[in-house]
Amino acid sequence: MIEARSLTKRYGTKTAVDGVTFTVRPGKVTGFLGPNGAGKSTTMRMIVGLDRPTEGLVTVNGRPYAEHRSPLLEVGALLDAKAVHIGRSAHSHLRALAATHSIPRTRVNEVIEMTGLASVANKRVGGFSLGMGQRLGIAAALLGDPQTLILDEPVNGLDPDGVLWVRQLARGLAAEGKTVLLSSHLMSEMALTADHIIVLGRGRIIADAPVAELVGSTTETLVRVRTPHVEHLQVALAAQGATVANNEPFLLDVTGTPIERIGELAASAGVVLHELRTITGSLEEAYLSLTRDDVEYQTDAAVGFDPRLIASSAPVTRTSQEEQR
Amino acid sequence: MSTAAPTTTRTGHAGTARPSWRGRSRLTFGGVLRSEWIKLSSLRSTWWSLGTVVVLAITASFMIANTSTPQSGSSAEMIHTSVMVGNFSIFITSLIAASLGVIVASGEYSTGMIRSTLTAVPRRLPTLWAKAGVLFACLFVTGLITSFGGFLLTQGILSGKGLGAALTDDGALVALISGGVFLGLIGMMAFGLGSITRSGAGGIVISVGIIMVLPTIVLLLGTQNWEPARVLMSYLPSEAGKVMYSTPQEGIVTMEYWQALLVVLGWVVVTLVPAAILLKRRDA
Repeated sequence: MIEARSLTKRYGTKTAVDGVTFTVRPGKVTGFLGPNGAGKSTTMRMIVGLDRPTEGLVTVNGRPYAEHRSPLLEVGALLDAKAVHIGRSAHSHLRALAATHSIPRTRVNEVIEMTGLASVANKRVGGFSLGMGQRLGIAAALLGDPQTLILDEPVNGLDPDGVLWVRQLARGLAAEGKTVLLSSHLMSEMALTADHIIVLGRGRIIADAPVAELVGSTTETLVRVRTPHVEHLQVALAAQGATVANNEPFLLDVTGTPIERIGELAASAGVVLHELRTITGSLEEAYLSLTRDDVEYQTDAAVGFDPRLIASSAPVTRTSQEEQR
Repeated sequence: MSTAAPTTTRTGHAGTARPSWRGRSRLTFGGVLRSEWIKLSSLRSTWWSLGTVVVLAITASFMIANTSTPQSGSSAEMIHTSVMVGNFSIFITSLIAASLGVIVASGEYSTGMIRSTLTAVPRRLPTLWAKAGVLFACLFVTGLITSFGGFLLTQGILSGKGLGAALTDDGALVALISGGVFLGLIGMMAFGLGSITRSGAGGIVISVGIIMVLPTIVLLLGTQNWEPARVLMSYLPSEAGKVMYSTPQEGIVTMEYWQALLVVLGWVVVTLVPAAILLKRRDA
């Protein structure tokens, strides 16, 4: 359990984190999202005491991180895969960290095995690839078998196997009742891994909700119908009060009517259907629409960019934000 | 996206057996000391530095022993010369010790290791004391090897010239041990400077400045008949160090041993205390 209360960090006149309050609960994977410079890493660094908050307080399992008797057994953190001396071997690096808490060598070897580093454990870290460095960072985070895990961009640089492994690891730890806080810019990966999402923008919390709720409230679900008898079905649907968009030949995007009802309507109207499916909004879509105004380092391409254009190849007019969800 | 629906919380963890080591594992200062020893000893640069110190020092002792010639032939001169031969290279090896001290601190910052270190020891200060302690121990032992090695190995040459001495002779033992103490203390002072500057280049420049350049400047000021120069000189670590690791030549006693030790300790305190305050206050 991580609890932040009015957490603020200012660097001179720049406010990196602006009075954020949130709780990361055990038994779930919580995703930490936000554009570059939104304050995610600074917040994570404050949780483990690397940065001192200008104001506010953050506690882990009830007390500030530094006040725990065995900090590594409470929290494991991967904040920066490069937090390693390049002249040291992976094995020595982990053994040095383990020694502080008298964590035995057997555990060091265990996390080396778990993270697939066995074959390079005695090589100097300076020669590691990005992915290997990432695995070493994860190994260090797991060292104390901690109750809470904080992973900043853990899949950065990992191969597909590694990405899958991190997902299973995070889900497995959460299923064991541990607290997992994870940041990533890979929305598809986050959608598969996280149960709950906190979105940060310009140092403030923009959203804090379960994934399904977040996607549901910021994007709209529509039903896609492919049929050779477009006009026929369009009339039948309009009679039901459904909003219908016909953007491509033989294709209708319907909102406001459940998928079952559309199927029944088509049957009773004798319309042939080639496709009938629900298209739900993606996390990426939800994220982009939430953070559009809060992107710190906006590129020209992103200015005036409408995420809906790419998200579902259907430029449907979707205005009603709080459609019953 | 509640795919796995992890409703189990604490009970779920009880099901998976807690590893047996968890109960015994705790953050202790002894553990931090061990950690710092593993860190220092697992870097090649440490062994290169210490190896260089030993080779350089022993070689220099032999060279200086070969060129030593007796002047008065007094027993004070014999002890002084033998100790001087043993400790001859300290003015150079102390620069290597200082570089090592700076790098032990700055290396953590330049590589990012400091973030791992401070996550493991979030109270921070134990790592500073442990690092300083481990560094002192390594340099002290290395200094003992070079001082005693240089002294004992050259006795064959020196006694042939009538300049031989024994460890039991007046002041010899203290001066030789002090060679190790001085090397360790200089390393700690530089370590403090490395922690303050967080920069290898910056820390080394300042250390070399204090050890080598300051004495030269003060010496120059002394030649201009500037009276305080003589007093100032005795407050420099390299000059005070000489008092610690030499036995007095006839008639010349500039400073008592304990005064010299206090001066060098003072330099260590003056760099380590700000280092501690800054480590505690700054973001890592």
